[in-house]
Amino acid sequence: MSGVMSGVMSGSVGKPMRTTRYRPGDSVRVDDRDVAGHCRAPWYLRGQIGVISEVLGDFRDPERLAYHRPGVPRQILYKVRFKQTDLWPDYPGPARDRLEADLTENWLQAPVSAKRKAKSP
Amino acid sequence: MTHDHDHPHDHSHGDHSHGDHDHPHPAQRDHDAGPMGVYEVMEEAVRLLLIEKGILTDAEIAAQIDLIDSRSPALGAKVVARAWTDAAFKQRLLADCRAALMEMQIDIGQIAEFKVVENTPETHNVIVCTLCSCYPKLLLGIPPAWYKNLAYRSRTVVDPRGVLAEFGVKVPKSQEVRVHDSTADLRYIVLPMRPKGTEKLDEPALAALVSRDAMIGTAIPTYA
Repeated sequence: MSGVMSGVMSGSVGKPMRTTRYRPGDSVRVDDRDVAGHCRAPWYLRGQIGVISEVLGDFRDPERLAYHRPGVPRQILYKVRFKQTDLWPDYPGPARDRLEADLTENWLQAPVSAKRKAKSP
Repeated sequence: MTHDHDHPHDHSHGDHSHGDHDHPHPAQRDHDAGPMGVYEVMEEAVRLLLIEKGILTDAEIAAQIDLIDSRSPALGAKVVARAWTDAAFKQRLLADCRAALMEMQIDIGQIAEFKVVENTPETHNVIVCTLCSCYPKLLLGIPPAWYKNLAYRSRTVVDPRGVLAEFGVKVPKSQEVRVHDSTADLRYIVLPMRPKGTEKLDEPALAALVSRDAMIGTAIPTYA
């Protein structure tokens, strides 16, 4: 997406995108923290493990913008792909089905800590 | 929205009744049957305050309504037909939707980025916004009411094939169903597959095959 990499997105013309923590193909776990107020990470994805399918760009943080703040620090936005059968234990469709959602970097963790956390009671 | 504000505000709001403003574009109620609901009252109160404080003008609100009303599924269908007939355009559309739409004089504004996802024999895409009702309005216009329903928004992520079947779309098990939950700054449009037997159709004839729902992923264009 050339428009993304050149910083055209969200009005940041000419501003190079900062280094991204994750790259396409990386496994990530969505944080399962509780948030009071405006939040763009749907509950059904919290704690779930997915794979980065695309780096979408560098955006002002919607969870700060919602409260009339400037939305900084800006957040890298990722398209994250999940297996439907991971999200829903009784998913009625075939195992090949996927769901993608757009999540900001501050909601993602490396899955190593996820496994550790998953094992703890 | 920034502007040079030159709209006069010489009326009093303390005791006014609606309809006595000397505005160039007085707002009209969409529905005049029955008393105003709580959200309608709230919307009017906030709108009038924004105008009174000089943050917006009536003219800007009217212009925004006109802008959204100028966008419709027919416009999106033209884009799909262009992508079906021009492979290079399709690649540009998939790579950088904003720039490709600008080639067709379609300006999507600064609120959000757009992304086109392509249906293939391997993948059927369907769009939902579970958190609210994000929709590519500056291409497709106002979304259908069902797109904003809690039932569509919740069931599409849990059982997309069941929801699609209710729309009459049966996706074979050999094809992946890929749900896109537009949770952030992107608005999604499905590029459906071109129906078989349409090789001789021109762009306007192809566009006529593309429905609003086909660009959400809840319909598949057909050609008899």
